[in-house]
Amino acid sequence: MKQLTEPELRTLMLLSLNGDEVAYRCLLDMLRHLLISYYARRLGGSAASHVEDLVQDTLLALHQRRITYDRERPFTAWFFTIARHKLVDHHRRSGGRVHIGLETVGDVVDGYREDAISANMDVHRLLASLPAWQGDMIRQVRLEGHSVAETAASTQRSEALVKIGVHRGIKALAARLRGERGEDG
Amino acid sequence: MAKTDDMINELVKDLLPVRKTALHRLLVLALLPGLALSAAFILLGHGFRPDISAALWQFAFWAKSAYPLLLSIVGLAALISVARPGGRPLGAAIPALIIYALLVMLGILQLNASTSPVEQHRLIMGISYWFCPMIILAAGAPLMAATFWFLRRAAPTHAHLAGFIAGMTAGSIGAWVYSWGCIENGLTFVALWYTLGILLCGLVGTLLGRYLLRW
Repeated sequence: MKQLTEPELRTLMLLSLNGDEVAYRCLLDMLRHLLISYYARRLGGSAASHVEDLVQDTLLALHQRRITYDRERPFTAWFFTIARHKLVDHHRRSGGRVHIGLETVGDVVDGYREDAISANMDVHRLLASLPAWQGDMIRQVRLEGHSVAETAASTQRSEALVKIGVHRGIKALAARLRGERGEDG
Repeated sequence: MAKTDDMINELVKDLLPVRKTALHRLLVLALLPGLALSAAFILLGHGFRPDISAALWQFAFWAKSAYPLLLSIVGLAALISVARPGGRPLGAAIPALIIYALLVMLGILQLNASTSPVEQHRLIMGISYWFCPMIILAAGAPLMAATFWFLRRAAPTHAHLAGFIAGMTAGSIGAWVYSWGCIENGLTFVALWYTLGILLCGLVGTLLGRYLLRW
């Protein structure tokens, strides 16, 4: 199973914060699989039933507290801090004898650290995989916050075409990301 | 796993766009009613200081009011930071201590300028030293409700620190509100008793944080 990179997840998060349901569903699906392996590795086989609870708890926390994500910062660092917080809370409730060091968050986040540094450049690389006009419209409408009318004017296309471009582009993006996940998904 | 599928469906259905400034807006939204209640409590229950129009021309009045106001600004910035997962704004202690040191320096200058021992005693103990921390605690209470309301909708991962900052910030704003009613002019009085009131708010916040800021 190919893990999505920080810029890919961050792009999905930015689109989700703008209210894009397709991107949001895709993001939650991806994170759910990341979380299952994150918690399963840390709880051991005996606690498999807790894993699903923790996954749900964490996705719910992401949803309810997404207001605290700072768009200028790496997404995975923010998200796995929440996941770790839920893990600590879980251990505290169940007796708290398990020692959790900083390394538990470190080894997951490590894989993302390098990406995180170049995150700002790479958000746009994902969009570049789309037809240029679609990528451009998503960038203007969803990332830079221009209105559909402004984007239509600056690209000299109709408003309907801008809407279609954004919609199709995001669908294609979601399909591409799902495809990368392979048979596990 | 089907349960998780259902939940994801629910979350997607519930998705609303989030503004870039949403966290800051939430804090302002929380503070406005808290500030209104605190001001109503001080101004209706205590009133402006009787010599307010004369006080407006005194340096000591403005220094006394600026101290908690500056602390509030530091506190609000720290509050935004501690509200995010992993946020640990320990660096905020530095500007807070600098602000305090400035007040103490001004207080010492003021004490040295005064020649009568009675006057000096008044500048330190005032006529109401025991009353001041208590009324700051009371003026800070509605603001503490506001900062906790805010943090409970955010994602602080250090409950005690978040509670402390919520309490200190509420106490500082409460002290600023009270500075309009308080009749004392001694900056050493402010450095001792205002600070004690603000620290009491911080203590209450720390204790409450443990229970109210778990998620």
